[in-house]
Amino acid sequence: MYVAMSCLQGRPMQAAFDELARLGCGVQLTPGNRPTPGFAAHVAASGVATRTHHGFAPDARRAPAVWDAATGACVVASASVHPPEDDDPARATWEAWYAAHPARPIVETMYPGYALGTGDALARAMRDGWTLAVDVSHAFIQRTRGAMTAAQWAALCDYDRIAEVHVSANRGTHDTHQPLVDDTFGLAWARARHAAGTPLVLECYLHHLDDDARRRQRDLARGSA
Amino acid sequence: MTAAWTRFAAVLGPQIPTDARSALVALAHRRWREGPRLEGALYLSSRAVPLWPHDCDQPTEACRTCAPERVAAVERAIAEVGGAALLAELGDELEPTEAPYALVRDGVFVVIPRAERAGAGWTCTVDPAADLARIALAGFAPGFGAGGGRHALYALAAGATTARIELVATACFDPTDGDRAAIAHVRALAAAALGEPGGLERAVRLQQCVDWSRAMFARYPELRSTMMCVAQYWNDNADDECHAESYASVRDTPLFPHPCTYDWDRDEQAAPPENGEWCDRCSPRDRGGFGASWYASTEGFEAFCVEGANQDQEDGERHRPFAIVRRAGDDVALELVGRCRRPGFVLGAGAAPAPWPDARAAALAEEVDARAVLADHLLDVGDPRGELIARELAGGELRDAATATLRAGAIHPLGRVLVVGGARFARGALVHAEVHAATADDVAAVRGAAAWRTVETLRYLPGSRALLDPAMRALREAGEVGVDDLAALAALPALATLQLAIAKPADATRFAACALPRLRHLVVTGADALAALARAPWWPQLERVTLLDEPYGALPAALAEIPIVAWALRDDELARPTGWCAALDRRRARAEIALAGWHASTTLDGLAELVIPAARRLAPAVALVASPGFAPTADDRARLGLDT
Repeated sequence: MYVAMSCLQGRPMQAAFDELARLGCGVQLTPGNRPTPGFAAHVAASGVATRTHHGFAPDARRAPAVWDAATGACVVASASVHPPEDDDPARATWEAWYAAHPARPIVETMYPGYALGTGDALARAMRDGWTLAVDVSHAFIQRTRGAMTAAQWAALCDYDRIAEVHVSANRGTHDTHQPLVDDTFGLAWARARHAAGTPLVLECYLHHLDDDARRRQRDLARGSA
Repeated sequence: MTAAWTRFAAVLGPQIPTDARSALVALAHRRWREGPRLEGALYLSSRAVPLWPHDCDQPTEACRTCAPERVAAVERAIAEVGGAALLAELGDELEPTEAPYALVRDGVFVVIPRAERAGAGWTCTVDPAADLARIALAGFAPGFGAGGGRHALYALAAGATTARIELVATACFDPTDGDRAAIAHVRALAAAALGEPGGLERAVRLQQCVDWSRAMFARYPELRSTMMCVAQYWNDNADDECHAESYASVRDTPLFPHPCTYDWDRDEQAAPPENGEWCDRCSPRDRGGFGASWYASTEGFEAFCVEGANQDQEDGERHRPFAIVRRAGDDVALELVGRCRRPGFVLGAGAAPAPWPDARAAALAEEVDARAVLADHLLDVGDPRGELIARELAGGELRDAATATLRAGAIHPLGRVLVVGGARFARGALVHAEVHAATADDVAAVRGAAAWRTVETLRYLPGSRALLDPAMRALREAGEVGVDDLAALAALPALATLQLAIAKPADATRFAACALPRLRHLVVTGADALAALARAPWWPQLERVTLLDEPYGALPAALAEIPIVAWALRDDELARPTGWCAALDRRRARAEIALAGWHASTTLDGLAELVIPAARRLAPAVALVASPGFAPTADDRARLGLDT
């Protein structure tokens, strides 16, 4: 299991990393934290398992770009990325690039306003055999907005090429990264996937939670609470 | 000149107000899925050349949004001539985004040369010998995000290190005295930031906020103030982090949280809100738009935002006020009210100041009450700091590079622990410090510093290491102070107001044993520690106790003999009082309610439903009193059923 740096988004990188590493999980390195000098070396020396996500950069708040505007190529080396937003110039070209490149990153399921933001788009991705990171909170927004049918959600749950599962809570309106509760949408499925070996990434905001509450979030995510 | 264009100019020309000195016709060749279309707009100006990109906040400029009554609809002229005919003639020359095509003066349409239309934004050329930076606009770039915008101009000016700036007139830009005044002001704002991280970004946005406020005050004479608020929350790409919200008010300070009256049923707001509080949604649009053109950059504003906010929260929960602009005669006055809410945003050590010219100056510099004597002495010995201190003593707040240099010297080496926006000055000296020391090295670096000697109030951000220091001999108020500061407390005899951090019961006993001969006002969170504190030798001398995060109006027995008891909330990010503060007087006959700090709960409804009923249970008379951030009106008192 991994805890995303975005759980303490905005905090200095090293402090956020160290606080999250105390939870005893791996850490997913995500964009949005303030750079601290020597962060890459600090991570390497920590021995903590890491994965990289989207526009993470060890020396900047985020990489300048994830998708090349002209060619649609993914220009970061992260393990998983978000597909482009609808108003991103790369929106029109990234799919062709992605389909043609076998050494491609995992792409995350999104919500309306992004590529892979609807059930139909995800159905096409599954048909084409793309490897997905399924964010259950994004799926909840899709379901709430009527962008994904129950059958499409069921098909996604059964899909065999899921390489990451991301969990956080929201009200179905915005991607607010709120702490998990027992009945968070998709949580039971995420736990089952995790138990079957798929990496699980907790990515709810932990800024205002003390160490005990953070541990409870970790345990709630993996079903050991 | 082509036939369709000539007809277009003949149709549009007579519609352009004759009192406009110039106008720009901006056109775009839109390539919609349904087919190509010509779109355009007209921009009027009292300059020789309208500003491009157009800026609704500049008083010289007018567009169909900010001056709908003045600006002709280009669409009608396009329709009359025929968009297809115009596109056939001009289409290859036009960009897909709106760009100036023709300049109109005295009714004459002059097509702008293509080189000027495609030109870049502002350029800055430095002449080191003259200590001068010349800023010019190289050309009209397409689009409203073009580099010729106000933000880019202000950023160049604020970042220039030369003593002087010259705005160069070109075919694309006709500078005004208003531009020069704005440039001087943004440079002063940048200088006042003392090199703080993000200070230049804040200066630029603040200047844009001032411009916007002036424009709002000009359009709506009933408005007296505006408020710029900031919030931080993220989309999943972490590329959309800080957000700004702006409000305007007929009061001297807008209410916060903003009591929005937008009519969602009709989805419009035709008339001014009856409560006199306006936002982007509930403002009327009859005299132009409301929306501010600036936004809050992450680098400039994240330190001032509530942490962990999100899109589903109410405005009052996720935003915090950062700046207020008020009418001040024919001018405006800017007040910065945002506070750094995050550790890790400190000014930085900075450079050591030049030594004082002699021992007498060095001794006088340590006395906050001797600033005039110090100024006179420095003037006598020819030290330029004398003039700066004298000016500050005479004129209050000063913002320029020289003052900044003086102040940077006045805080050295405290910049290592002073948080951004956390230094306040008076009489040329540091008098208020908001601090956070992350490491033992930070503490050691500032221990015993002479710069502490003029500090009168000190606020810690939570999590700071202890910094109280016998050098702080002018210190009258401190908070939130933990037991690690106990030894230093005993050496600060002037301390009159103290907010305590009591982590465990034993802490209260230790504070009670401390000598605090001048303590008059105690602030404490919760009531659990009161019994232990009440055994302190200084307890009988207290004139006021403020309880934080205790129910309004629940009077603990330990406070029975305390002359004034007050209740407020605690801002956990700042460790200081916030929300409505209700204070019960010594005869328990009158409760006064004031604003301790902006908070999601500081609404008039909150007063009516919670605070006033609680106050009425304690005292027969309840009054609403003025405080920084809230000046009650007669209407407020009437609505709340309170005496004037």
